[in-house]
Amino acid sequence: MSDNTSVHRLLDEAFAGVAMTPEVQDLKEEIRTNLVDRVTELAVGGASPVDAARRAVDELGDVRAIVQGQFPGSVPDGAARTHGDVDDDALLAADGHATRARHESAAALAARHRVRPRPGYVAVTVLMSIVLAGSLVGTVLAAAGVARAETGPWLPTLFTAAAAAALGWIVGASLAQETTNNYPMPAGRAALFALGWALVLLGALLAVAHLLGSAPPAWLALDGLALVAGVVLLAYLATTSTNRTKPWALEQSRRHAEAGSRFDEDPAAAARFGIYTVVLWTLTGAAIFVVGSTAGWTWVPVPALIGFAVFMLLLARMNFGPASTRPRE
Amino acid sequence: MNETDSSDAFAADLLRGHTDTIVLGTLRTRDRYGFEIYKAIREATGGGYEIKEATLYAAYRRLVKDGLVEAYWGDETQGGRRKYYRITDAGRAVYRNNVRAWVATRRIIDSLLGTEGDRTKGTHR
Repeated sequence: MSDNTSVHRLLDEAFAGVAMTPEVQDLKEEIRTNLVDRVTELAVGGASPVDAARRAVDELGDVRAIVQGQFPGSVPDGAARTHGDVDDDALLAADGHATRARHESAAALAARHRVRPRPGYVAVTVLMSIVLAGSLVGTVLAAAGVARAETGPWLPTLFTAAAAAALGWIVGASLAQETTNNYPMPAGRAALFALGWALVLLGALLAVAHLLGSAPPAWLALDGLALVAGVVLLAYLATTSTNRTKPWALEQSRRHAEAGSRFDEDPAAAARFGIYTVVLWTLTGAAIFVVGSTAGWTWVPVPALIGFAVFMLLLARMNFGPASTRPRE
Repeated sequence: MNETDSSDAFAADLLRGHTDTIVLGTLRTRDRYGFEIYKAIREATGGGYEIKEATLYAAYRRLVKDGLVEAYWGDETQGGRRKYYRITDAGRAVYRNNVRAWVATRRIIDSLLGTEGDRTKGTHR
């Protein structure tokens, strides 16, 4: 229980001397709630509050070793007592991964983790894409035919259903594939994504067909319902989606983030870049106007392209330029 | 006495080698916080062996770093807030792969140790 203060005192003692970074504080709070639950459990079993707290903290083992394993540097050297309880291998393994990955080039990493797409999946996806494109064109043509009373109203519906099924298949099958960067999505979720996109396309296409064929408003309402149902389903899936990226790819994006942008580190450079950008595009605008009114408006893309090229060079130079131009060096 | 000790150590070593997969397994059905995971594992082992909490904290950290699990603080109004863990789609994929690997390993070890028959007997215990 939270009125048992011994456990909090013991936890503070266990963390004494550990540098309190936000991460360590986070770990301490996590351990605290778990300890309180364990103490409650022991107290229900008949232990006195003080005994329960003492036992729960003892079971935890050496806190300093846990912290040392997870955040090396928080504990002063030699302060972590090697305790029989602590599984050193597991703690070391946590950081071993990262160090090894850092020494490998991005290309080597990607080659080692490469997952080839399955031939069957690729073949069927190409086929489905053709079906999708064909049914989209077919829907519009059939709807136009209905408008001229040349075909029955069922034809656009048939094409729309085919298009929705093809899109659904492509979406679902693609999400369920393992790729070089991503793990496959569980089949159930992938199927829901497929259903969502199929409903959206079905509603939108049928609405177009019904508008072209001037169908009764009740049908349009039904199309809208399918569209909304699809959007709601996709919104639900988007908010509940979780990470699918493989650890090596996550690690790589972390490294890219570390390389950083100079504009993040040096606000003055970012401000200079902003001013240069405004000047550059003002000049480019003027040049476009001058060229357009003298040499003719067909020549306008030339100054626009030059302006764009200079802008990209400016960005490359100022944000990712060689380290020697950095003011900090 | 000595014999049980060493077989306990053997079992504990085997378990510890699968800590990450075991944690992912406990999170398959719903999100849990540290003590719930610890309790689920303790109950599954019948209290005979346990995975040390220190090992578990290291596993959570590793799983979060690899994107196999997401951590979030609960919104308990009473007492301390709990840190919950949720399995990600990547975590589910890794779990499935590891289970497949374990089933294959179990078959090989059973046939090498001549213990195929024991497994079915064991489940009727």
